[in-house]
Amino acid sequence: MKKTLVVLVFFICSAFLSQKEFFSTPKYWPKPTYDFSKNPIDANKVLLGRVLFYDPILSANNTISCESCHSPFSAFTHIDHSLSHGIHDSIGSRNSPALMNLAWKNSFMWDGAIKHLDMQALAPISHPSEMGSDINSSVIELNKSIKYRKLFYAAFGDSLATGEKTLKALSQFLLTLVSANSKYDQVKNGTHVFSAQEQNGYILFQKNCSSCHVEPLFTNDTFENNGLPVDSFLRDVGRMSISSNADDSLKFKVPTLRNIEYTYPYMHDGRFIKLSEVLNHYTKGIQNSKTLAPQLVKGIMLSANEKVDLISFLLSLSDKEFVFNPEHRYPKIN
Amino acid sequence: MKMKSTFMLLTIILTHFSLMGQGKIVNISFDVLINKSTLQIGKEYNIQQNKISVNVLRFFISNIELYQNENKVFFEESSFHLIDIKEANSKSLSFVLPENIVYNKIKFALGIDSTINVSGVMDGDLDPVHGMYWTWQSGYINFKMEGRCSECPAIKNDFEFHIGGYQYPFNAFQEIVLDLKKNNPIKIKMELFDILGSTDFKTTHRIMQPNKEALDFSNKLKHAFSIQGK
Repeated sequence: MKKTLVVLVFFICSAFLSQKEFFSTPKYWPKPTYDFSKNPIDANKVLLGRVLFYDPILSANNTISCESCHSPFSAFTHIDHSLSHGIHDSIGSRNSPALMNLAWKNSFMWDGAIKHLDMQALAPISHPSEMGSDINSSVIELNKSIKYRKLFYAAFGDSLATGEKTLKALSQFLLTLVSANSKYDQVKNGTHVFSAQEQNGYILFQKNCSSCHVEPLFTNDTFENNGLPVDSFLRDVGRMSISSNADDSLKFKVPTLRNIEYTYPYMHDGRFIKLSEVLNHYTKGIQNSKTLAPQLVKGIMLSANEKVDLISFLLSLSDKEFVFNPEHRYPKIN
Repeated sequence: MKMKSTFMLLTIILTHFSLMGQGKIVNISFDVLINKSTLQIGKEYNIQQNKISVNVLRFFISNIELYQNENKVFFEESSFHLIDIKEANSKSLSFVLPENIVYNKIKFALGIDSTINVSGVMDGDLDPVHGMYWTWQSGYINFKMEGRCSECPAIKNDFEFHIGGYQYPFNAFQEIVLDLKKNNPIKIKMELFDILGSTDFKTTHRIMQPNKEALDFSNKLKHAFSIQGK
C-alpha cells in the first residue's frame, strides 16, 4: 500500500515537473488579446505546431516551410531579404514580418488583412508566390503521413488531421514565441540598469517614437503612414487595398521594435538595411501627404550624437534568449 | 478508433431514446432551382439569350430559428450548415424539437455572422478546408457560385461569384424570414433564374471580395428564397 502511494506521488510530481510553462504574461505587459479559452495551450499541440512550422509538407511541392521566410535566428523574419521569396523562386511584394508576441495582436500582415492568428497561416499556404498550395491539400498530405497521424493523436486524441486542428496547432507554437527578456525588460524588472548612452536614447525614444511604438510591446498595433516615398514598381498603397478607404492610403502596420537588431532589412518593402538609414528617413526623408501620421508632419529632429544614443537604446531591445532559444528551433523527433 | 465507434453507437442509442421520449424530428431541405426545376451541375441553361452553366454552388445556412408569429419558439444551437449542390446529403438537415412547440415561420441566415468571422478557426462545416474562407484576408465566403456564361469576357467564359463580407459598409450577411405552409418537412427553394437573368455578365462576372457589388448580389440572393409547395 505504502509502496503504491510512493509510486503514485512520484508520478504526480513528475507530471507537474514536465509541465513546462509555454506561455506567460510579463507583469508590466497588457493582457493578451488571443482568446486562450478556445485553444488552451498544451505541450503536444505546441510540439505539433512546431513540427508543422518547420515542415515544407505544407507547400505545393515540398520545398517551402514557414521557417523559409521566418527563421528563428532573425527573430522569425527573412533575414537579408528586402522582399521574401517563396515557391519556384517567386518574389513576394513585402518584407516578411518578424514573429513574436503574437498573442497581443489584433490583426496581422502589413495591411491588417488577417483578423485572427488562427487564420493567418492560410494566407502564405495559399499564396501562389509563397507556398502555392491550399489548406485542403495540406491536410490531405498530413493524413498520409504516419508521423503526423501520431502527432495529431498525441495532441488531439484523434489521429485525423483537419484544417481546424492544423491551424490551431500552428497558433499554439506561434503563441509560445514570446520575447520578453531583453535588456529593456531586465531594466523594467529591476535586475539591470541602462548605460548613460542607453538612458539618453530611451529619453529620445519616449519623446520622438513612443506614440506609435508604444511600450512595452513597442507597437500600437495600428496603421500609419510614416512618409516613405512610394516605390514606383511596387506601388503598394498598404491598408487601403484592404479597407478601400482613401484615408488608409499608404498606411502600414506599425511594427514592433523588439529584436530590431536581428530583423533587418526594415520597412514593409525592406528598403533600409541599417538602423542609421531608418533614422535618417525620419529626420530628413519624410514625404508629406494627406495621410501622413500627424506626429511626423514636422519631422523628427535628432543630432548625429542623439542618433547614436537612440540606436544604443534600440539595441537594448534585443532578446538573445528568444533568438537562440532551442525550444523554438527545428524539433528533433522521429 | 474503437473508442470512437463505441461513442458513436452510444450517441445513436441516446439520440434514439431522446427522440422516442420528448421530441419530434423536423426535416429541412434546400433545393436550388433554375426556372422552377432543380439546378443540375454542368447543364447548359438558356437564360436571356445567354448560355449559362453552373459548376460550383456552395453556401452557408446559419442561425435557424422557428417563430410563432413574432415569438421565437426555437433556435438551433451551433447552427452552421454548408450546403454543397454536389453533396446530396448536405441539402437536407434535421433537428429535434420539443413535442409541444407550435410555429408558423422560419428564420435563417445566408452566410456566417461577424462574431464567428473573427473568433478563430472552427471545425466541421466551418473548417477552412472546404474552401469557404478567404485566405488573403479574414472572412467566410457566404455564397460561392462558379460557372460559365457565353457572354463572359473571360478565359473559358468563366464567371466566379464569391460573396462574403461581415463588416460595415459591406456586410453581406443576410437574414431571411419565410412564412411556413407546412410544419414538417420544411422545403425551402432558392430560385436563381432571375438573378442569373438580371446579371450583366459583360461587366459583372467576377466578384471576389467584400464590396458594393457583393452586397448588392447578397441582397438579390436574400430574395431568392421561398417555401416550396402549396
